[in-house]
Amino acid sequence: MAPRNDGVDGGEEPERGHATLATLRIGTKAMVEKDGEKRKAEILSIQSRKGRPTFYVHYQEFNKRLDEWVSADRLDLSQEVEWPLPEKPEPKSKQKQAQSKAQQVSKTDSKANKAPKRARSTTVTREPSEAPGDVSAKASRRPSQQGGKENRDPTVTIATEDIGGTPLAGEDDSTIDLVDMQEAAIAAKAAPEHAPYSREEEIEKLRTGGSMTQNQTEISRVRNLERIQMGGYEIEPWYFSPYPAEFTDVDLVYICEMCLGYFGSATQFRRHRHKCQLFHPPGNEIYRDANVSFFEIDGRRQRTWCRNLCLLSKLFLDHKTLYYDVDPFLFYCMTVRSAHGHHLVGYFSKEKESAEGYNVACILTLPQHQRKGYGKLLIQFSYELSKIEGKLGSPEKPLSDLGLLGYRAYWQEVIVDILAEREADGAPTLSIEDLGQSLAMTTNDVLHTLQNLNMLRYNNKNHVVVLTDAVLEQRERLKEKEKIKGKRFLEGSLLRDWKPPVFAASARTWNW
Amino acid sequence: MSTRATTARHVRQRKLNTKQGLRIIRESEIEDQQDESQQHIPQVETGVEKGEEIEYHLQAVINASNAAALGAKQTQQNYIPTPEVKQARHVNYDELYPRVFKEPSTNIKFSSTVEDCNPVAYCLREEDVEFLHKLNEGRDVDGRERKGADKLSQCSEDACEEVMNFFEETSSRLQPFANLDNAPILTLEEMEQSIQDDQPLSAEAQKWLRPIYDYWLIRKAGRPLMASIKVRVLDTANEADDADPYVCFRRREVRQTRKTRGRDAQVTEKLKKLRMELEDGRQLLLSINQREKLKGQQGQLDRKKFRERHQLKKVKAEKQIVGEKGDDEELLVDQKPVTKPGKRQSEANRPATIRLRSLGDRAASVANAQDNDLPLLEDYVTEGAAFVSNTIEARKEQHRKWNQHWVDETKLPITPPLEAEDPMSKWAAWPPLLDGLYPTPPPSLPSRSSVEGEDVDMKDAPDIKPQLDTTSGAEYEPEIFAIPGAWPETEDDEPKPDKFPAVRLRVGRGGRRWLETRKRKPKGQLCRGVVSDDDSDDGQTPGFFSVPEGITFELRAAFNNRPTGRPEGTGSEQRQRQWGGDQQAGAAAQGHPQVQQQGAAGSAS
Ligand SMILES: [Zn+2]
Repeated sequence: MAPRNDGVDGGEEPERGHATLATLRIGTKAMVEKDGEKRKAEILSIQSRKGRPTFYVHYQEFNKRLDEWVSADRLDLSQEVEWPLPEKPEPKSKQKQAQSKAQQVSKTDSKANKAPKRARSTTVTREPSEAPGDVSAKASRRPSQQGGKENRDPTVTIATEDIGGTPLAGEDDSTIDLVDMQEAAIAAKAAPEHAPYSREEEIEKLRTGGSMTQNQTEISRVRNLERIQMGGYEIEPWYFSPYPAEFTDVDLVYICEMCLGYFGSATQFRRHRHKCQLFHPPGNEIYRDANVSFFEIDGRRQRTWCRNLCLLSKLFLDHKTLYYDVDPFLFYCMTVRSAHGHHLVGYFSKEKESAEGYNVACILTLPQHQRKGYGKLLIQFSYELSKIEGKLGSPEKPLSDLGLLGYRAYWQEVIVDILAEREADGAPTLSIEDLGQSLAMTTNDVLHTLQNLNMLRYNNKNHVVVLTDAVLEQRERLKEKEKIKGKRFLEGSLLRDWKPPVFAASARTWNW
Repeated sequence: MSTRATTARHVRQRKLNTKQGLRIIRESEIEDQQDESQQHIPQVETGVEKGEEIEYHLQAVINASNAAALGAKQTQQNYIPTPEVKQARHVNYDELYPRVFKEPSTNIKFSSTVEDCNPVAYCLREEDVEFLHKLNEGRDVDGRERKGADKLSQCSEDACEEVMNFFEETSSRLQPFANLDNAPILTLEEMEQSIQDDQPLSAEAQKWLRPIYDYWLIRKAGRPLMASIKVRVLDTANEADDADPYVCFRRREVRQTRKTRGRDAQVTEKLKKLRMELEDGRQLLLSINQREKLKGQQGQLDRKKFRERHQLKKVKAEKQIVGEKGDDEELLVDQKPVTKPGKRQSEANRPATIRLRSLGDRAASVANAQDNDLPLLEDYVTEGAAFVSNTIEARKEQHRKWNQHWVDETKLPITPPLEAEDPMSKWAAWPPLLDGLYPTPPPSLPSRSSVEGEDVDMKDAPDIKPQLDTTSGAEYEPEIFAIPGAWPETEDDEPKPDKFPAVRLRVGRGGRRWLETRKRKPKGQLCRGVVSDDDSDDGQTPGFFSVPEGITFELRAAFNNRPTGRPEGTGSEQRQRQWGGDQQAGAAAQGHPQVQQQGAAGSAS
């Protein structure tokens, strides 16, 4: 992550120095203890909890899902810290613009803040305000520079300039909470004109298709939910999701496992469960085997359920955008069955008509079901659908880190399988395109997989595909595992009754 | 890093055909085991966002798998750490999710929505339960004893939720923007009025409307009581809205359907066809409408006829008129079409159906028409031809008369210089003078001057023009004119025996001018005989009378300098006006200045 932090500032050396708890401010990078070792981390937000300062930090070179609130004792202030870069002088007009925007936004949110507030959020942003360059102003803008994966571009720094007149300083401490600061940061950020991927450009792009965002505004937010309860699990969310703003002040958000409804109060949730009559995703079950079922759901027909699903999955998908509605997508939801009903395990969404030829938009195994091989089933299912459609498919980019690993594992497994079978059949020749055709994979994905596994080699002035010892060994190991745990693989033939849904032009459009 | 890059380039140079079958071999079969270039994993597009690609844990996994691909033994399982998931404490799962689900034997088909499955969205929260408790103890929101409260009747949680839900839904339905425009909260009466027929409140819920309304009023604060996400129903370009991370699921704009010219044409064709078919249908209806009207009229006529006959019979009976047999037949009984009136009758009696006029009908009508002296086209044609030739003849005759007593004495027509010179052209812009110099039609052409348009007609009619041209090269020009006869006698040494002028100036095409004198008989009498211009154009005999050379010039000069006499006849006046108006810019500007010019030129020489 070195480039992110060092590169951001266009070679400008950050000012270093010793800090005290009181002088720490947002944007400061300090050494923080993480899993027994010290790691440089940037402070994104400061709150006081029970009278003690708490810091929301992002660890350099760690995924944002590991961002967390830490107590002061985990900060190593014996080492020098990096102060946030001094603000560049900004034309007055721009300051004003940003400022007014910030105020606008906090105004829109003030309603949400009327919600009964728990003790959880009282910011400390102004407590240590003896610091020379005022705190709150920077506090409000600093997070914006954070976390965004594209912040290396110095223009972003310029664009997210200080909102100047410290609009938050005048307000009562208690009214400023985490949300407000985030909002202000976002507002300050909404202005960028030279950002590599401006919000306007992205919204324009999303207007015509896709479900992923690369925009830093979307992905640079501080997590808003503390914990969720879903079914028999309590889960720590990974990223921001636009659940009702009042949930920010709630310790635990309850998610109904069946309708995916969300509740900020235990009583409410209990009452809901008392009434909820849904026992499975509200669509047609298009696949059923001994382990899992798949439901096909049209975003347009099941708007509420699909919105609920998207809100939930946004907690675990950094790049997912909820800017636009769910109408143009189909949702393929994988469940496991019990006497309670169908339990959602994971899903992938798919554009009804993808201009880029993607066969998956977003894909997620719910955290409580991860590391059990379900991801592979989801991926396999997406390719089974493509096979029936007679198309080659590929997932929408960008992939998440976990998504990449999941896909690479799947690609390796199916490609090596097919090659090994060919070899065993004594017909050891296969073109890249044929390989792709039989797996409904794009040529590019096949090629990359082979290259990445060092299987595409050059021998006797000819390209050859090499079943390396490494991949064969991994294949063996997998088979061993399957013998013990049972094979987790879908039976493509069970899907033979499925017909690709056909949509009238009106159903594919985005309107309501 | 750099070595890897060069290797990658090296490998890429050997082009790979993705269509070509590749041999599948084992690692041991590779011949050149020592090839360095084979021992690297080329860097491949991961599809992960660049900033995240370099993250510590992902890199660790990728590096490990790369190492494994190159044959390294895997030391430890690398994985990407994720935040904690744990079993929920204090959750009685079976109570929350009762074991009531029966797996159907076939795949589930399901289309109900979340709302269908749970019509009462409102769920009581802690304070609601507290309130309900109070309510069921017979107390009001404020804790006071509720008037007329029946302590035995208890409000169930379901009923309470139903009522609360009703209030929430009604207020959001009737005041969707209440949180924006601070609309007054609906009264209970307004709420009750809007109970929808398709979603009636249960009888149980109806009982509790009043007390729960009081409570709802206290809790309501301009926004939904159930936590809700921010969805913008209105399309808005509001910037603040755009930056608000809590606003989600915006409606997307309608995707443009691809337009092609072919598609447009197709659509147009379809619309045209539809239009035609609709028009046909409309016509059919109109015709039917007309038929029925006719039928109605016929009915009325029949009825009238019947009454008349009835009357007639009565009269006959009264007066005891006994006509010869068959006398009244035609009046009393419908006749076969024999006579004309009979025919008409029979036509009226024919069933009034829509039918196309048959060919026979038409032939019959044509035959009838001949009887009625219908004019024939041939007649018109011959009549027209006769008229034309008559007119031509008359014109020829007129022209002959016009030239009758005149002879061209001009040695050479004076041709104006090609380009108008400045001092002259300014004359052109001097209407008053031009007005005075305007040529007037010869008095010998009364018929023509009375029909002004004909000048132009003649000019345009191609079959007439050549004739006139042979008569006189400039004849068809509108500038044709002659000096009417008020030539002062003092200036002419020749006596004027009659009212005709002795000299006339004719202006031809391009402003050329001819000076013509009257033909003379040797005796000095003006020749009244007919000199056919037609025949003797070339052989105009200059012998009759000649203006001595010196005089011709003087005549010209004099002519130019003296005001032309007013022409007689309203016709000529009209003509003048017309010229002044229509042709001032054109003919006048071209032709008449040249008159001036020539005069000037003449006097100069
Ligand atoms: Zn539910």
